[in-house]
Amino acid sequence: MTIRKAAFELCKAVGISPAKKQIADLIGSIRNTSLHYHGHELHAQVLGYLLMHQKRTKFAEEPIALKLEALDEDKVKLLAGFHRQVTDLNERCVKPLVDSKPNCTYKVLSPYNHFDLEPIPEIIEIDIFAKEQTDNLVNAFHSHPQIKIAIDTASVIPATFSPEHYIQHILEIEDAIKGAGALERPQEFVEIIERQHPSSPNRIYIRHLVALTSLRASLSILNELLYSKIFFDQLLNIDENNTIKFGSYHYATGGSSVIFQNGGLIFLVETDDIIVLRTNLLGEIATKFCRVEKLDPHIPIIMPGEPRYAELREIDENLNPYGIMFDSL
Amino acid sequence: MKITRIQSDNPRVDQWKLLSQFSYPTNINRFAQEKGLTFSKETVDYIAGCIRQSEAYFSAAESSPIDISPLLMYYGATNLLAGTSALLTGNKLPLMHHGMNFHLPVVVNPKIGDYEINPIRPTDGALQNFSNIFSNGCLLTGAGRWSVLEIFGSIPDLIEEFEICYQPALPFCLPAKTIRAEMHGLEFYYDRIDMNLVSKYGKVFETLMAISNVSNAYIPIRINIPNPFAKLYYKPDSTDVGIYSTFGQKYLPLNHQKNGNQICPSQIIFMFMGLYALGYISRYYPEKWNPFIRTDETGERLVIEKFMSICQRYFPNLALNEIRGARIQFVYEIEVNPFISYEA
Repeated sequence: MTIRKAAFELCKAVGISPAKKQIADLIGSIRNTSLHYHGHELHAQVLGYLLMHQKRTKFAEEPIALKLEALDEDKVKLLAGFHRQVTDLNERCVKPLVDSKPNCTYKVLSPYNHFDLEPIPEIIEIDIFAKEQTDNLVNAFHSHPQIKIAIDTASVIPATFSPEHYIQHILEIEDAIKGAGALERPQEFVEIIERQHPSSPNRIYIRHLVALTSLRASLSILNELLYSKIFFDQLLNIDENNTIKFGSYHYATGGSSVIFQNGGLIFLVETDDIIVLRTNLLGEIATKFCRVEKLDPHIPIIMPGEPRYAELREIDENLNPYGIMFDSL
Repeated sequence: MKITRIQSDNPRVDQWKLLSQFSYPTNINRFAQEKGLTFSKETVDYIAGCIRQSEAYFSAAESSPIDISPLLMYYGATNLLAGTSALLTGNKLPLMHHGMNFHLPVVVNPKIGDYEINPIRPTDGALQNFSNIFSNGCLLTGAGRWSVLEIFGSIPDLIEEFEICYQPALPFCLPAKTIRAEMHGLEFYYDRIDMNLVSKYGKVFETLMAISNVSNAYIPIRINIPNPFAKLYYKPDSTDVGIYSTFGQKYLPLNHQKNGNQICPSQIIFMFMGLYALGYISRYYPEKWNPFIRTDETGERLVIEKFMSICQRYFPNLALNEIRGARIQFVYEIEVNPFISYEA
């Protein structure tokens, strides 16, 4: 079973889990609040709300005060409980790598490693992930090709390389990818691929870091899928019903550009959303899962029916948005 | 349909020059060869005869008073469609009847717009046979009657006069403009309709959904009421559903509700139906036609004169479009030499 299929199976199980309603109702209850808006902006799923809630006193004291609503203690505990479930799942997914490479800790691979949430002392335990589907996903994830690459290439990393070093390098790679956009490969990687021998130490070193970046991104996609299942129930589509013009598919990055018709306020695409793209590619209808990486207009205050430009990045069957781009690394 | 622009200072004459090419057997056979068709000698003579007679009837109608010009032009239209059909298919159509019945209105003091026609005889009637070729097979027989008002309201060039004369009736086509836009180097087109015009029809969304072939041509319509325009984005590879006025302005035709079906004949078929109705009144009901053209006080005569004028100018053009597989747009452009300065 592919990781993507296992993730969808887990999402399906989440959809019918009694605990789903609890979380969905909670998120629904804060939907039209500033806390929700700013928390959502962090693209960190439930962690976004927890972070903004934790820092709301500090924001209120700043010169341009940001007033955020306070949550009941029980709500915080429930959100924290759900977040814990997600991070536990993430940790289980990358355990083989963490076990084999001690300085590559879970924190290195966590999609939330750049956020500083202070520990929440008490949480409400919830049981939202069905055991069978969770185990299947974890097993599938253990076969993630990037785990093997990361282990195989770990020999070039000095023993003194700390988790902080790792995090710093991974974030640099992410920045380079973001800077290049979904339609182009970062120039520094193009040069490495074109000029350096595949077995050169530097290229192996980069391959190792890219493998970690990819694993972290895969976990991030997994978490977003789970969150989407709770919050929206289904993924948004860009298909023949709202595509105004499909630009092109970039084989080097798995990126696409498209102009689509902006939907109503309920069906609004935002950056970092995972969407289903259905388009005619080389004469055949292709369905691809993509992450929205760029939107113009960016702010979703445009009216329904107006055109919107998007750049999308295909997510492969390992939930890796960078798999296509770094396939030849 | 591609657009072919032809420079002309007299389109009425020049369109017949182009059509008259098909009154010569050599040209007809050359056309057949290009299309991969084989014409019998009888068919060639039939086409040539139809085109010649058609031109003669149109010419006679132009120089005749309105007492008889509708009938003459109807004959010309029938000949032109019959000849063009044979040219496009290689066969003479099995026509034994006009394919329409005429019905007098039952209302007191009817307008000409209240008279009706009823399409009949699907196999050997001229109307349905022509509709099969010039209106994508739009099924008219059995769908019910058409009033002259409905016919006039479906002709883009006639909208202004129609709206004045037949208030509060609304036309069956919406003026639209095709807009070219670009985002991040991606070029796209959409049709834009003034929301003020659409809102006259009451329910905006329902009106837009009544545009003929709307779901084949455009992605699902999303509108925002405060926006001054409704934007209709084309589906990939969709065909243009617009109809065009003599001067090339785009209109989106609205479906007509007939016996529970939504149908929308082409502009040339509407003109043909209108000419039949007016020809019938003038030929068989002179006691109604004569007082109308002498003493009309409603302004409806102006509508009818405009309709005749449009048919005179545009009907042959529409037939020519079918033959050429392109929208022939006659233009009169004066090229100004930028290197010559003119004294005031």
